[in-house]
Amino acid sequence: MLIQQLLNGLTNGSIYALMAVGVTMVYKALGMLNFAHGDILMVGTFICLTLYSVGVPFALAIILSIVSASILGFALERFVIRRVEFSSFVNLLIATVGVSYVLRNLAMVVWGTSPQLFPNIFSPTPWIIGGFMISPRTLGTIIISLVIIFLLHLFFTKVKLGKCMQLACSDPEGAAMMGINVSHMRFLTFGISAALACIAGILIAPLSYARADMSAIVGMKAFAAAILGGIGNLWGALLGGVILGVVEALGATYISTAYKDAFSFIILFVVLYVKPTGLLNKRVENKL
Amino acid sequence: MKKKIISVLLSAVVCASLLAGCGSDSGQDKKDDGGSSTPAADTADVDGEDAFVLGAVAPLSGSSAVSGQVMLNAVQMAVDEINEAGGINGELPIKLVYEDDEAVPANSVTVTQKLVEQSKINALIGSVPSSCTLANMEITQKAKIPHITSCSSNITITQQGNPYIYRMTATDATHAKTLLKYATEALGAKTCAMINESSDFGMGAYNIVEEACADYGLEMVAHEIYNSGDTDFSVQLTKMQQTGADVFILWGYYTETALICQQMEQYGIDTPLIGTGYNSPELTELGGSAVDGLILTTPFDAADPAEKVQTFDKQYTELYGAGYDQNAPQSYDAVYVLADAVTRCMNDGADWRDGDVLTEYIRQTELDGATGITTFDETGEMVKDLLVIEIENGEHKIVEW
Repeated sequence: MLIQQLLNGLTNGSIYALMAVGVTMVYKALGMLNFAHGDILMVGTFICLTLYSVGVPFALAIILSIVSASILGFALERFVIRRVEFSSFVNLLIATVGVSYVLRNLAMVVWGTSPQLFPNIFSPTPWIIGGFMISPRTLGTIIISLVIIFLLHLFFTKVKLGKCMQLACSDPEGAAMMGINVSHMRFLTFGISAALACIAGILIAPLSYARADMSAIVGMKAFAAAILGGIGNLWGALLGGVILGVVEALGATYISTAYKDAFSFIILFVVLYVKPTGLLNKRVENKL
Repeated sequence: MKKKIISVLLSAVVCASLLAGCGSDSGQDKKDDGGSSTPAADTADVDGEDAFVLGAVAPLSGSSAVSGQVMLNAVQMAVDEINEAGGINGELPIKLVYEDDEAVPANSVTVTQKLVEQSKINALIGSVPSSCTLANMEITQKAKIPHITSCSSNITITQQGNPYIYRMTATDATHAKTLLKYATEALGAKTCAMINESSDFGMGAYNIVEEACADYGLEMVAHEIYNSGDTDFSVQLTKMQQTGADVFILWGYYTETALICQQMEQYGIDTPLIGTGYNSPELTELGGSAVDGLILTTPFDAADPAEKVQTFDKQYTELYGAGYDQNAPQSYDAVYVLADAVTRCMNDGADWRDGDVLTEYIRQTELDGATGITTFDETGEMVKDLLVIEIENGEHKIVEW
């Protein structure tokens, strides 16, 4: 029972982690949360479903939807964020909330309000190994999340473009003086973040169905996971996601299923109380 | 200059909004007039003096407009049928007057008051939302007018000692009785595990089922809860499975139900799943083959080959197109229940205009209609064995047991 629930927790945790990575990337770029993240996920998922239902091969539909999601991310940066960037932090935050509502309502008009069946990438039929059930879907989700986070880590630490993005985020003025086009880097960050959201959506949708309100289901958990691990930290996002997933599953098993969602936020409070920067972030003194 | 322009603009806006206000007001009046002179030609020329005046209150605008319209369509259909056949008992035509309560309890009270005082109704059918029925049943009680709600399922409606109110829709208690009877008699279950939504809808049902379990000699060995919008039920299902319950009882909406069925299939759990709340065409679309074998209870199902059901289904679809729910046949039957009570009144030489007399005749109802045989208990609650439906290859099949 314990190991089975740990496995269940890991599956959900890896999806939270994938979402949290996207949130964390935008945070690094802007120093704020992107509230439209979950809705980009939803739109990407629906685009994939639409393409698939008109007869596009599933693999191609996935690639096309990831591309369209990143175009959406680019557009969000170019036409919304860049416009309000210099006004104030609050405006920036509200702008993403606005985009979130626009996308969600648009999706309700285009794709309707009822949930829709989404094809499985991996078979959901579980293998039974030594009395425990693990499905190819669980394993696939965990592996894809790990691979993506690992690749991103390589990109940010080994590839020049990635390093430039990293620098543009942590010290925009310094980066600009070094000849890096900061707004260009920010543009790219949004695109990659949106693509990640779309991948997460495609992984979740077979389990939760594609629906206009799917951002509400995963959105808050993704923020919680990102903050828990230390916002802005890729490995922190992974750790935060996995912890949330496991705590939820164990809390629901041994305490009560009624408070399943509450457990993840209780653990968030506790961690932030003890370590306000999140699990993996070091405390950085602001130098004047 | 600028100020002047602004003030001119402002006054223009104010005028425009006033005009718009008038427009919608007059539209409302028109609609109300339309209500009193119903579209059917044969009811329009009926003289109020020697007609049975039937009031209907339903939300015809606002968020519940669709269900309100379905109710009214069905009532209208029954009234037209009766009038075409010469009226109640072949002599007394029905005059239908209806009002829109916009699903707002306060409006429901106002329009019911209007029906009672101006239209002098003899009986009322409505409304759809329980909150509206709870509010407007006080008006009919004061005016001593028999009142049937064919859609509102809130349990307290019939628990207030109001002798004029009757309910013709299945409450959670009605569903629970049929489900537990099925579980013990047809499945031979001794233990059950229940899973339900954490809302009032689910928790209310849980209390009812838990209480009723004892009457059927069933022991509830596990109780799990989920939140609306949850997508992962692995924890709940594994816990329920480990108790070894003979049957799982589910009270939830179709999205979560489809997921629960799929996840049960994945985890290889083959315990029978019975319950209610998820009767919707979308269930089979979402659940696919996983929902096969799922059991649900309902007062009405178009798959029922009974003649009255098929006639109703054919006529309603012909008149208004597809897309009605159980509220339609229930509202349709409600009109016939009233007509039947008035007929019996007439045969006994009693005065059907007296609400106290009519309500006692309604209580004695035993009518075979589109929703099966309807009878009432002393509180006005419908007593009925519901249909047990099994989903088979995505189709509804009536279970005989």
